Amino acid sequence: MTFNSYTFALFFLCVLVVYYILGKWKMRKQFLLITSYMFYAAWNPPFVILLWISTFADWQFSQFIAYTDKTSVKRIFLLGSLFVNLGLLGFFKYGNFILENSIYILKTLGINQNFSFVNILLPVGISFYTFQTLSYTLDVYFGKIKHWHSFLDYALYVTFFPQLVAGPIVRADEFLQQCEYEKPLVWSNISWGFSLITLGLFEKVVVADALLAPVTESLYSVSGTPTFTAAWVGTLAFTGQIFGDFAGYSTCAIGTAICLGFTLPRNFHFPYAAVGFSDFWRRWHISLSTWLRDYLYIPLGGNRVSNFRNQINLMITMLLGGLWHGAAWSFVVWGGVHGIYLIVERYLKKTFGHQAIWQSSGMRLLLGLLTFILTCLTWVLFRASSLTQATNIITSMLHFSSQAPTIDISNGSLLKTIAIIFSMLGIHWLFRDKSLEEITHKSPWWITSIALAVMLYAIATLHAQDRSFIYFQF
Amino acid sequence: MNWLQIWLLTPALLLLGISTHEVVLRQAKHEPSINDNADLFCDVYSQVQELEPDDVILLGASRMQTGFDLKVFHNKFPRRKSILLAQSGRGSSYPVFEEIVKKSDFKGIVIIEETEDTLMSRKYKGQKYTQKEFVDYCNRQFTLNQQVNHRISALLESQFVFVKNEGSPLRRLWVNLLSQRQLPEQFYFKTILSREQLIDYDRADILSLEEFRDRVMEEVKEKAQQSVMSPEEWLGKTEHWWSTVNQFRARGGRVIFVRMPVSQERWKFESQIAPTENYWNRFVDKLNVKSIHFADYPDLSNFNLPDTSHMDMGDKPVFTRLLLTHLENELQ
Repeated sequence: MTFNSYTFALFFLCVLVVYYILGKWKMRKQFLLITSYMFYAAWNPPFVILLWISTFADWQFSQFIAYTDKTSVKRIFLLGSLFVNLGLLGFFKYGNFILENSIYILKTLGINQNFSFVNILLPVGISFYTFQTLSYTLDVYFGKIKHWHSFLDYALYVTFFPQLVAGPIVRADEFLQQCEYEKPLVWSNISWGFSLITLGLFEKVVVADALLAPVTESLYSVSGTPTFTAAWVGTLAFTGQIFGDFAGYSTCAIGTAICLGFTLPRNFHFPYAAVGFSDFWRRWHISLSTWLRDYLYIPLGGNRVSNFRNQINLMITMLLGGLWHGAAWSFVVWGGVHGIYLIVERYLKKTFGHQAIWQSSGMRLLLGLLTFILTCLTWVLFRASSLTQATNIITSMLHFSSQAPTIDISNGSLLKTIAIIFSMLGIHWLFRDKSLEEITHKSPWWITSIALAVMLYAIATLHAQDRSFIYFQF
Repeated sequence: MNWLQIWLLTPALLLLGISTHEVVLRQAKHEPSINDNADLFCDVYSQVQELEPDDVILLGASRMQTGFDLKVFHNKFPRRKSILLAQSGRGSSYPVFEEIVKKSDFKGIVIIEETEDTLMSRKYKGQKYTQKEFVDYCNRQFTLNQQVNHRISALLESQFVFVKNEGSPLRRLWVNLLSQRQLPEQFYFKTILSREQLIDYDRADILSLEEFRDRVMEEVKEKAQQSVMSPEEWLGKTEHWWSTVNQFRARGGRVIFVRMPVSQERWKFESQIAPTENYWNRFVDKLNVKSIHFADYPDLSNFNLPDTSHMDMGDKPVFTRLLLTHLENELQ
C-alpha cells in the first residue's frame, strides 16, 4: 500500500476513526500493530513472516544481552542479531549480486562454475526495518537504552506503518518513550498531520511523478549518447524527482504519524541548500546518515583516530551507505564519490577554512551551487541502469563525449525542468535554516489555506502514470 | 494557528477549483473515461476462472475493443457471460490465449480478432509492448490491494473528467488556455468499465483525423509495394497457434477467428498484400476452425470507418448484431 493510493486513503481514514474510538491505550496500540501488519501484507502477505523473524529475533537477542553480565556472551548474542538481520538482507537484497560477482571472480581465476540464479523478490522496506531492529539490539548492547519492558511497544516500534517501508529510520529510544502515554485526540495534530500529508503527496504525485519523471525517463530510459543539454536537463530532472519522491514519502510518513499522535524524526531539511557535503548529509536522508554515523562510523573509530584512518573510516561508511541503496556497483561508486567529496572537503576546510572570505554570503551561495552541481553529477550514478550509461551521461555533461549525440530534449521539457529546479533551489535556500512548522506558523492563515488548496487541486487533477516510491526498492 | 479557518477555507477553495475544472472540460465536450491500463485488464481477466462452458471470451486488439458491443451480446444471449480481453496497440492476442489455455480450465468459446500480420507474430513488429505484459502483471502484481485501488479509481474516472489519467487534463487545460487561449481538444474515444472503447467520430477534429488516415494509408500502400511473404512461409510462422488451439479444443473449448472490417480503400491494398484465399483461409482451414472474414460478408463490409479500421460507437451495436447472426450456429 502506498501513500499515493486510494486504498491508503480509505485505510488511513478507517484506522484514524477506530484508533480514536478505542478506549484503552493498550488496545489502541494492539490495533495499530495489527493494522501495520495489514498495511505490509497488502503488498505481499507471505513477507510478513520476515518482519516477524526480524522482530522476534532482535527482541530475544536483546533480552539475552540485557540479562547477561558476561561481555563475551553479550557479544555472541550481538553476533546472532547481526547474523539474522544481515543474513536476511544479504539473501534477499544481495543474493544474486554476491553470486554474480563470485562467478566473475572465479572466472577471472580460471575456475568456471555454473551457478543458477534464483529469482528473488526483494521484500519492500527490508533495508529499513532490519536497520531499525538492529539499532535496538545495538543500543541495548552498548548500554544506550535498557531492554524495553513491553514486547507490544517494541513490535509497534518495528512495524509502525507510517515509517515501515521507507523510513524515516526511527531510533528505539525516540519511539518507545512515546508508547508510554496515551495519545489524546488533538485537532491541531490532525490538522498539521493532514497538511504534511498534502505537502508530501504534492511533492510525490505532482513534482516527482507528473512533472519531472517523464523528463528523467527521456534521458535514462533510452540508450544512446545525449547532447550536453539533454544530459544536464535529464539529470536535473532526476535531482528534483528523487527529492520530491523521497522527501514526499517522508513528509507523508511524518504527517500520518502526527495524526496518530506520534512524532517521527525529520528526514530532510532543504538539502539542496547545503553548503558542502557534510552539510548535505546533515540535510539529506538524515535518519540514514545518523544511523551510519552512530552504528558504523563511530564504532570504526570515527575521528578519534589518525587522520588517515579517519579518512578510511569515512570511505568505508560511504561505500557501505551506497551499497545499502542497492545491489549494484553503481551505488557503491555513488557512495565512494560522496566519500571522496567529504574527504576533499575536510582537507580544504582544514587548509583554507580559517579565511574570512568563506563566510561571506556571496561565497556561501557559490559554494552551495557548487555542492548542488557536484551532487547532480553523482545522481547520474544513482539513476543510471549501468556504469556504462552513467559514464556516457557524465561525459556528455562535462562536454567530453566524442560520440555523435542521439538523445535530445524538447524545449518544453527544458523550460519546465529549469523552472522547477530553480524554484526548488530558491525555496531550499530561502528556508534553509527554518523548519516547516516555523514557516507555516509565520505565514498568514489564508496563505497556508490557499497553498494547501492549490496543492490538493494539483494532486487531484495532475495525474500521471502511477509510479511506486523510488526508495521502496531499497 | 487558525487551523479551523484553514481547514474550512481549503476544502471550499478546492471544491471551487475542481468544479470549475470539471465544468470547463465538460463545456469543451470532454467526457469521463476509464484508464485502459493493466489494472483494468486484470480486473476483467480475474473473471476467467468463474466462466462457464457456455461463456465467451473476446480477444484481439483495438478493433475488437471498439467494434464489439457486449450489451448487444447479452441481450441476444442473456444466459451467457462474455468478457473482453482485447488490448489496443499491443499486437497479437496470442499470449493471452496461450495463458487462458495453459493456466485456466476455461472450456467455453474464445472469439479471436487477428489480422494476417498479427497471426504470424507473438510480438507486433516495431511495438515496444506485447499483450504478454498485461498477463504477467496480473499474475505477479495485481494483488487485492491493487484491485481495490483500481476499483475506486475506475469508479471516479467513470464519473469525473478531472481525474482522467491519460494526458493529464490539468496540464492540457492550463497550458492550452495560457499559451493558445483555447480549451484543450477533446479526445474522441473513451473506455468504459467493460473495457469496451467507444469512438465518437463527431467529436474528432476532422483535419487530425484525415491526417491520421492519410498516414495509415501511406503505410499500407508502401507495404503493398514491398515483396510479400509467400503463403507457405507465412503459414509456417503461424504455427504457434496450432498446438494451443488443439489443446484448447481437446478439453472442449471452441475457437472462432474474426477478421474485423477495414475501409474499402484500405482493403484494396491489404487484399493485394495477403489475398484471403492464400492466407487467411489457409490458416483457418489448417486449424479447421470457424472464422468470419468481413470481406466474405457484404453486410459486414459496408461500414464507414473514418480512420480506416475502427468503428464509430453508433455502428458498433449494428455490427455486433450482424456478426452474432453469422455466428448463430456456433453460439447455440
